[in-house]
Amino acid sequence: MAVWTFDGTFNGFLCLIHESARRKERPEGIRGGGENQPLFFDTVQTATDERLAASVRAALAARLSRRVLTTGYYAFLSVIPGREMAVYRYFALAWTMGPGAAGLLADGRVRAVHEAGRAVSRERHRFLGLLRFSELGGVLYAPFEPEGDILPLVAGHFALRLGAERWIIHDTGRNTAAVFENGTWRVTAFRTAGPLPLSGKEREIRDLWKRYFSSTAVQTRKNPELQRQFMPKKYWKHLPEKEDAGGAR
Amino acid sequence: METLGKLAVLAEGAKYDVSCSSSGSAGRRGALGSTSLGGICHSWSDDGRCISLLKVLFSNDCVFDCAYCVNRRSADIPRATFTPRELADLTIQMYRRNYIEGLFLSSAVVRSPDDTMVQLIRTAKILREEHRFGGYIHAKAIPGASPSLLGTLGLLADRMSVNIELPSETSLRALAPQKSRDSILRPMAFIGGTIEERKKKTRSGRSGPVFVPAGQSTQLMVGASPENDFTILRLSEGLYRSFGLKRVYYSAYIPVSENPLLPAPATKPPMLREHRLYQADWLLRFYGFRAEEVLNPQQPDLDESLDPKTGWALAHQGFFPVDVNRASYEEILRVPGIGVRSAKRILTARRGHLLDGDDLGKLGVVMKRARFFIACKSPAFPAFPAGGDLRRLLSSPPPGKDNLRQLRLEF
Repeated sequence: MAVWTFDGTFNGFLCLIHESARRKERPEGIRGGGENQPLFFDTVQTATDERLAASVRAALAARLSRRVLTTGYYAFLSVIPGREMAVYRYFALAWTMGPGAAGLLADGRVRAVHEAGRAVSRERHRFLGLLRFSELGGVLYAPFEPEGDILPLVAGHFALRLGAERWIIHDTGRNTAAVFENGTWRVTAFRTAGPLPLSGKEREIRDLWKRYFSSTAVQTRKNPELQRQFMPKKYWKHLPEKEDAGGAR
Repeated sequence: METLGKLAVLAEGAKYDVSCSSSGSAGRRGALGSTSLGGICHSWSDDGRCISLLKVLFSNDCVFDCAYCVNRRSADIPRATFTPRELADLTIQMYRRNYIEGLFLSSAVVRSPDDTMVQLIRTAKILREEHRFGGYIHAKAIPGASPSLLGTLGLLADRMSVNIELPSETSLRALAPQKSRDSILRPMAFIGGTIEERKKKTRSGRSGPVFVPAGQSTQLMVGASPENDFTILRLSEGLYRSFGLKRVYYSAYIPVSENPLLPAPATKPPMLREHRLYQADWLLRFYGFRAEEVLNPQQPDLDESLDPKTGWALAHQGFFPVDVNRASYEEILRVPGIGVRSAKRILTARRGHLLDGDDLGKLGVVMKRARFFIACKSPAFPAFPAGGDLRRLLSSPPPGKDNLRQLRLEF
């Protein structure tokens, strides 16, 4: 029984797939970087090579279709237990079956990955709207706490949208951030020492937004239940419009 | 008045316009901003509605006196007017912080329709030209505005809309004396025609500036005037067909004034009726139904206890059961409990193997409703129980539930 290990990144995972194809062996379990190594199994350690990863990515896209590759990538960023093995099996199935595997939604292996991928995609979409930047000394700073590891999925959107700005999107749960400067972004380890102070001007703009938020609601149609359904409380922490309701400072 | 005060007054004046969508415009990009085809919601207000755009009036200082409107000339309310620069800067500051997806630029009629249009154009120009703003702009066409101004604003906006509000000319004459059918439909026809023209040019390879790429929409009030649902639905169908509208919004009328021609101020807005109209509208746009199939002169109003698709199915039991393993997409779409997405999934998944009831549940079919109308690999789906029982089983939401709440579309 062999458990294979890799550095936890998607590129590392692609190299693991390559290694498994080269050896014509399938892992029985896969563990990413930070997790404890199991004692009672043989382990196979795989190394990460960015150039190799790029060519594996291209090969998978060609044979599996871009859609299957993307679905697998999204599921990889999810938090479902055993996600690496699930995505590995999904790719392996599509490798034999071709792109049609994506349509086999009645197959448990396929469905699990699709559902995990969809959850990540939903969360990404949600945060494209719910992320809130504050201007702090010339930099736009947006803290958030996503469930999935979606930093690389939202950064591209804001690189297009706020291309002339400098910004930081901070995943406070993982202590990582996407930092955007001079037209490119990169993900890096990141921490702040507590909450950051807001300038008077920033306060003013927040107040405008809060005033707008309350004025635009139709009081005769008040429906807090529906509001929470779309915008669950767990997101309120970083929303200025909810700071008086237990949200942001 | 300071910006904060103006913002409160002018958001108040715009909030009965229900459209807030930021969808339909792909790939616009500027130094600041971009658009997303599917649109993005940024927040949800206390009434549960999505906030996507900064939806304000440029001014609420109206020369018109439409009886149903909060901003009518004769209403005793505080009046405010932005300057174009003030509103453009506000938009930019909110956009940079990702509060909003763009601006919903509307206005009361200040002095004259054309004077108002000039102010809206100025605001949009500051955004597009000075800030090179690539975010979403939804601009109102003011009823009675001249075509050349509509043409200019359409080159700056992603979406435009003219609100019809009152679904018949009789009601319009009674409640909105300064508007006419013509002053509303002419701008719509102009915008629709120009969009069509541009599309043809693009198709024949001649490129040019984009004109209202996300199309136009309108809004109809429900319950302010006596029109029935059949009249409203046929009007919507006509608008989708002849002007190529992207959306018709329905707004349950909330009384804002004492007027013998309108519902009394304490009247609750007809939320459930609004919800049923949206469901019927969905049937027109995505499910291949015609207005005459959903309603007719004998039954001119939607049944509030049933969603209109279930209503149709109960009246056409001979059409069922639909065999999900063989039937066409169009037939599958007619089954209550199966939506566009699950119908598409069925078509893909059934290539792998014959589908049974379990599979359908996993594909997102609402079996609670669909089971009475389908055949699949599982043999044991019950035939129709006696008509009345089935009706009761399928009615939603349960009668007596507070129908003031905004409901979600559920099929």
